[in-house]
Amino acid sequence: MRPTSLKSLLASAALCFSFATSLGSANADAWTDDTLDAARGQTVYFHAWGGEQRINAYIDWAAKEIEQRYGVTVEHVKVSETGAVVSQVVGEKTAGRDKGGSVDLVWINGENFATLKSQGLLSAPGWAQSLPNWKYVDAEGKPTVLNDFTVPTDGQESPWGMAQLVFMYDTRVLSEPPRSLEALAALTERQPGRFTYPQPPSFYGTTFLKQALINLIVDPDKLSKPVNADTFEAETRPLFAYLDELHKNLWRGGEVFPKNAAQLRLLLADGELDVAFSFNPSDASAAIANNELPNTIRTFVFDGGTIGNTHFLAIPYNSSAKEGAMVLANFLLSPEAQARKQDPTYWGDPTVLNLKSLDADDRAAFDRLDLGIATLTPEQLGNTLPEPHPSWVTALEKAWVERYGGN
Amino acid sequence: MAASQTSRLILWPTTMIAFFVGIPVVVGLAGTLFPALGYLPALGHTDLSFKPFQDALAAPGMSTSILLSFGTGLAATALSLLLVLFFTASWYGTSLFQTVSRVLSPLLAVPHAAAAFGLAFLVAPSGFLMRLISPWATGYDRPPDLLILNDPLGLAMVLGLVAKEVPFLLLVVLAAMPQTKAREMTRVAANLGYGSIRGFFAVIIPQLYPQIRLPVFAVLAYSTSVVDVAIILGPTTPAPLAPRILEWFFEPAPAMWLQASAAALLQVVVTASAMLFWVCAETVMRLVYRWQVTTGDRAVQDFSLRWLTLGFIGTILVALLFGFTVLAIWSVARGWWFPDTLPNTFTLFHWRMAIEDNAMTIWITAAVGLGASLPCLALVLWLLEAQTRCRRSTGKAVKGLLFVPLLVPQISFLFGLHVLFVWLGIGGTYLAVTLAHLVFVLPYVFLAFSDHGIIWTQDMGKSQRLLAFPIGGSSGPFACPCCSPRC
Repeated sequence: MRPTSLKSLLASAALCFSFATSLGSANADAWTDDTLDAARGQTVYFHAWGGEQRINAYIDWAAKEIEQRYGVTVEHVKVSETGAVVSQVVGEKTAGRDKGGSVDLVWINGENFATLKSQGLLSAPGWAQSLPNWKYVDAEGKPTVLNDFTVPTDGQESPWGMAQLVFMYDTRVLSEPPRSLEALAALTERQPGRFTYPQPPSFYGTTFLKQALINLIVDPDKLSKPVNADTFEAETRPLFAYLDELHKNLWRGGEVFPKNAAQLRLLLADGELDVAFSFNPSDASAAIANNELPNTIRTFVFDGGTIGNTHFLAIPYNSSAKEGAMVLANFLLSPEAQARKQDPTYWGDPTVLNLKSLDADDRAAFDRLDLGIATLTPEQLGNTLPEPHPSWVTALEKAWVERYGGN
Repeated sequence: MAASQTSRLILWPTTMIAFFVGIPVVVGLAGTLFPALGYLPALGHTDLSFKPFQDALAAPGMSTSILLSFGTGLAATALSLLLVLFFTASWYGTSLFQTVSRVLSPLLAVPHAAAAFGLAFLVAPSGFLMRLISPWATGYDRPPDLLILNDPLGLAMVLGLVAKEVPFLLLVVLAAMPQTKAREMTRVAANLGYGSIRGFFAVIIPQLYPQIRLPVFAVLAYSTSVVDVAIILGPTTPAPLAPRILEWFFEPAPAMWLQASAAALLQVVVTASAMLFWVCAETVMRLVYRWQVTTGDRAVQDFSLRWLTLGFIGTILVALLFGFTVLAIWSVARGWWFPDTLPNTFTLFHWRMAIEDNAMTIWITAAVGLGASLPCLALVLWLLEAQTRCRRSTGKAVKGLLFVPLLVPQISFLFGLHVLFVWLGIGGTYLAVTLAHLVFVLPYVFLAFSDHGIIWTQDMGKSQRLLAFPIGGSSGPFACPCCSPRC
């Protein structure tokens, strides 16, 4: 634990003490006929969250394929917090390291993307749309592939996978799962101590807050705009009134919260909780297949739909292997790689592609997939509710800590 | 040997040690001070102010965080020290004492985080102990909703720290005991009719304590600023100070780094206050001692206290070993859910993945570890050999300097230390990581080799030379022959 923390601590230090102010100009990059040639022999340092073995194994597979097919070496740099990668790039920029940066491709979305984009730390706009496999992307059916937490991607990141909040419950304990916030509160009143959420600012905890806010805010349209500090308190009053009541009946009386999604899942597996949740619709099936959850676990969503988003791959402005990074991003967007990624045996991450745009063979690969016993069909998953503007995240996390984080 | 030659002989290794230990800490602290005062030109902050400190102090639950760090650190240190002193007083010189110390010494090599996880798996409501008695004795077929780990008062965290600090302090005491003439003096005390605990406290502690004082302060500094144990076992609403500082350094918003730097310096104040409190407590204890020792009370009946102490130490030993066993079972478990006492199926999958995923990391860790330890070993041997030749002992200043990295909270100067490395052009390299480790390895190597040699004697010089070779064997650096009561 300590070395990782230290590493990111040190990474962030670079920013504070570099005095260089030069503005590096990014090269205009896009896919051309020469990209494959230029990429050959390059080493791509792919910074991606490394907390799940299945995902690491999938990236490992992709790395081997890329090496074999295109002669591009991929090094998976396993990070625990994408924020640390952002700090690293920011640090390099202020240190004047405008070329030969240490990050070539980063798995990213939301606040971190917004930070890199607003600071001008990404490869020039449009490269994502220039990828040969972009033509399969479902930009109409999945508008979040172009708007990352309401921030336009401008082709500065290439979509990789979809996420949607799904709840998990144990059929041995509950015959009917709570399909709304109200039903959830009623359940915790009936069975106190059997529900909780990871402590914000943990990603999953914040996601639960956002879902509750979408359900409870009087005017949901406000969530697509930056937060207004003057009206924030009034707008979130229903949310915190709900949480005040809910917390009385939370696991451990709301005095302790799980640290992350992995701990939340473990608590469900041990029967400490009735209901848990995940941001990957096939997570439960994959975990059952891996013996990480009992096979009595099933998933459900709220009646009005649940929050969802897209996760992306971005190239920093000072990458030393932009062509290689594009070759990797393009491969990961291919029907072949996307079908394998959606297979719960390997990962179970929903595709960003429009299946109708694929030719018959590629489509068949998707049709053959067994999504697993606990995975909902796309129809059952229902509406995907858009993410609020990133500024809401910061404000929500701060308000939560002030209220519940410092007794 | 001429005086100038003598001093030159010692001067070199001393200077080098001062260089490797002193500079990083001093520069590191300075590098934290500037952003803490709002000076961060890279982000356009050039106005000196106390605003970062005000922001840090205004963070929700900050006073609770500070009190938690202060209180848990003091409690863990006091409990560990008392346990070790009572245990030594009760059992020193017996074969049981030797057995326990032999079992405890390798436990020093268990990382704090692993020990904390092991304990957590043991005592959690869904943990191994509850599984052993469920559902047949408890009626629970689901884990009860009990607040055991991460309790708001930090009790679980204190116990976790005690479990890890007891082996360390015991070995420190073992290294210092030979100089106290314990056998003769306790025999005299016993002949005068004193109970063994009472006799030990009356005649041995006054000689022993000054020698273990610096390591005790190191334990106090560590416990008041610990990160990993606090994250695993400590409270979270709010967390103690050190984990919160780390969280702020993680924030993507760079303005938080000013606040984090200020809080890192507040950590120094908290740790220093705990030390000040400890010094006051020492004074009180000294007065109590003077009054107690002259009452003539010989406390002959200490049978139950002796066994109670053994019970506590034994519990710690069993808990650590048991926790580690549970950790080992988890590493090969597949589908192990409450209330199953043992996993349904076993698998080597986790091991295979861990090794495949971390193949490089394992080698790099070993290389960094060796790269930091070998130069330290050479430096310390050089210093001790030079001292032996000149018939000198390690001066108080050098000894104090060597302990500085263990007395200043890591989180308060590592951030600034990185700045130095960046400035030198080695930021983010393995060399930098190795150099950073050197700062902490040097004091421990010194401690391992020389604590028994503080008072120089002819014999000591001999044993140092003898020690240079057997040390580092399978039983770890502290389990040297010199630690046995006979020498």
